[in-house]
Amino acid sequence: MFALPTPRPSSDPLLAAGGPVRSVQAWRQARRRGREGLMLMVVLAAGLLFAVTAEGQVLGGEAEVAYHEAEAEYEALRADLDRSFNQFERALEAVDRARDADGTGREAAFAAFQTVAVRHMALELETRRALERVSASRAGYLQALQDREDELLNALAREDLPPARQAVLEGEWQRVRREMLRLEPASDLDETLALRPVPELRVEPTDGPVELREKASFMQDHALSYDSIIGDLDREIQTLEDRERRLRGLQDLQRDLGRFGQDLLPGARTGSPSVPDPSRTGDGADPESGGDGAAQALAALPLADQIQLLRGTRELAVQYREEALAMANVFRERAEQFRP
Amino acid sequence: MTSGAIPRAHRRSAGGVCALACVLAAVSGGLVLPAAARAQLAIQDFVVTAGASGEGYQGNLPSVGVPVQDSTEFASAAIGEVAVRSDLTYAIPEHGRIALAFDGGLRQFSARGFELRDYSPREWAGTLDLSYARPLGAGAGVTVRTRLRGRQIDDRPPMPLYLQPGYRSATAALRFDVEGPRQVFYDLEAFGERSEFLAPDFAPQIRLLDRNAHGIEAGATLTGGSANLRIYGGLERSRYPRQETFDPDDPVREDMTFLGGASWTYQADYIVQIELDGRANRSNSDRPEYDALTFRAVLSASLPRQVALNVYGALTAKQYLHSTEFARLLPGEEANSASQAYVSLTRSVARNLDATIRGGWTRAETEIGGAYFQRFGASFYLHYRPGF
Repeated sequence: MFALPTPRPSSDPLLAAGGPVRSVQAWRQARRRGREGLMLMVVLAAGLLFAVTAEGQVLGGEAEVAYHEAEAEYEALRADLDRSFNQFERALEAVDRARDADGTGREAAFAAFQTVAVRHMALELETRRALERVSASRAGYLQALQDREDELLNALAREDLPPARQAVLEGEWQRVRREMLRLEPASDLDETLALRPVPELRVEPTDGPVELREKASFMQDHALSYDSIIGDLDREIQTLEDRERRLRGLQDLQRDLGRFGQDLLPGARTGSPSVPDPSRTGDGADPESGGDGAAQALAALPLADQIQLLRGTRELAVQYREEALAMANVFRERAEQFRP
Repeated sequence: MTSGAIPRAHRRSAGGVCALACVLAAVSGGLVLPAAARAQLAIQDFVVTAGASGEGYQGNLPSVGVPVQDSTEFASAAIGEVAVRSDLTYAIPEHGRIALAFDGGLRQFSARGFELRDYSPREWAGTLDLSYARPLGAGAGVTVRTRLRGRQIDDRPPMPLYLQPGYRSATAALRFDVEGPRQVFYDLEAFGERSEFLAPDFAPQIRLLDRNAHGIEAGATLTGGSANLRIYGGLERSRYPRQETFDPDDPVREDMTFLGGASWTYQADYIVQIELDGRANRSNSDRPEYDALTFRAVLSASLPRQVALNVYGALTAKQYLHSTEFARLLPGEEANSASQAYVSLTRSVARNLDATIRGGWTRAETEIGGAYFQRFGASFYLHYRPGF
């Protein structure tokens, strides 16, 4: 231990680290109370954690249960239907074999076939109805998953999300997404970014100048519709780039200040605030944009990925516009080749 | 002051964190990592920073770590800076994720205005964060994190150009997060930290700043729409093993800090954050007992011509409970008790390259409480993100 000189009024204050002592008893009491308080907080936290983690994990609540029940019922009926179909085939073969038999044998075979056939038809009908119930309950389940996903994405978009909390939400979000993809393979994001390609119009042998001009006009209008899409994409990209620049600037400020200890020292809490991380999944989500599932799915990506996706879509839109304009020119030129 | 005076073991330690940061920079850059492992890692951010600053310093105050005295009241410095930082994550499906962050940099000063001589301090600093966050079921999670920090400074100048002494520190923390009803999130963190300062042979008193601390903090975050409000409270217990109290029954200085506050954040087309942070430090020695209240604010907004504006300000009011003529010796107080203002303008100047102009002012204590110096200056930074 570093030995300090006895403090004297005239000594160098730099070396006079000692000083008047407070009531030691009072200090020890405060310390004991602090320890008891700490233990109480830890016990409370553990109890709270246990209570929460003891819950089961059902992604879609009652809708999920209803869907799984309907699915199980349908699968059971499908198995019955497969067995019934085998009986149906055997009964049909028996009827074929009995064609040359006497009247009693033929009638018996036909009667057996009739029984199996009626039962099979009834089972088919029941299975079809079960499939309809599966379809209906799947829609309800998907809606419940969609609602849960919206909640999770809104939560993920929140500022200053603790890492553990983020990991929990991301884990659940991944499970929800997987379940949604299992139920409905075409993802919302694909639909969001899907552009309608240029319609396939050709110069037909029967086309006259009127038809060709109409086709040229149609293609010209179609190219204009791409212009509108490109404009929307440009605005969206600009908004996201602005947000990314702001967040990066804030993060750079925080990290630059902390690096050389101007702001964060041993024993010190960080002075500057925690800022949202633009690279983190879900941070790009605009909490105010309600939007549909597609917009939410896009917003769940890191900002850089969102921008990259939108830029890719923009390039495609430009390409389609050029194709549409080129086709319009072709139709127009062909139309002009007609002489009155 | 020369670097040769710093014990070799300490220099290795501080340099080690910087070297590790450089190795990790190479790894995350894909230089040495096998392709299969690279595919499992996500590089969240990789930033190379280069900057130049001009700063002025005012306030010729005593400092425990600066034994050289100079009579000037004002000094200035030109500063060059390079740094690398990155955040990497490794996701384990349904089992959480591991995050590794490093930040290392070098700052070279060319200081003028001293009576004795011109100084050229050089700072090396590195931080390594490793954490593992794991879900504990629906609505709950746990995070284990560790942090290693190292810092070395050569040719440390006298006041008023105050630069923190070198140190090495290690922190470990355990945090629980739980989602409660009505969109309220609760967090509880317990941490322990050990800090050792690097003392040149001729200034052993710097080791007085060595500190072991542990503490706990609990918070509740109320969320709704674009805004959230976090209310927190906690306590920290610090032990300074090299500071004596001169009481044979209780010979080593120990502090207990009670802290609490609230932080409100709004995030939409702009970001606003306002925080009120209060702390009361009590000790078995009268000298470092104080109450402090800090108001912090952040604003982030977009300006025309694709410029981002970021403003950060902090104002601290602090009152020591007892007057004393002895040194208070409060490491870390520069951050806790500082008043600061920074204004930053950022604009993209090329692909993956942002340029930033930043102005800053700081009024802070040295490690001797109650003694304030001022620092003000302007900086120009380039932040390059290769976008791996």
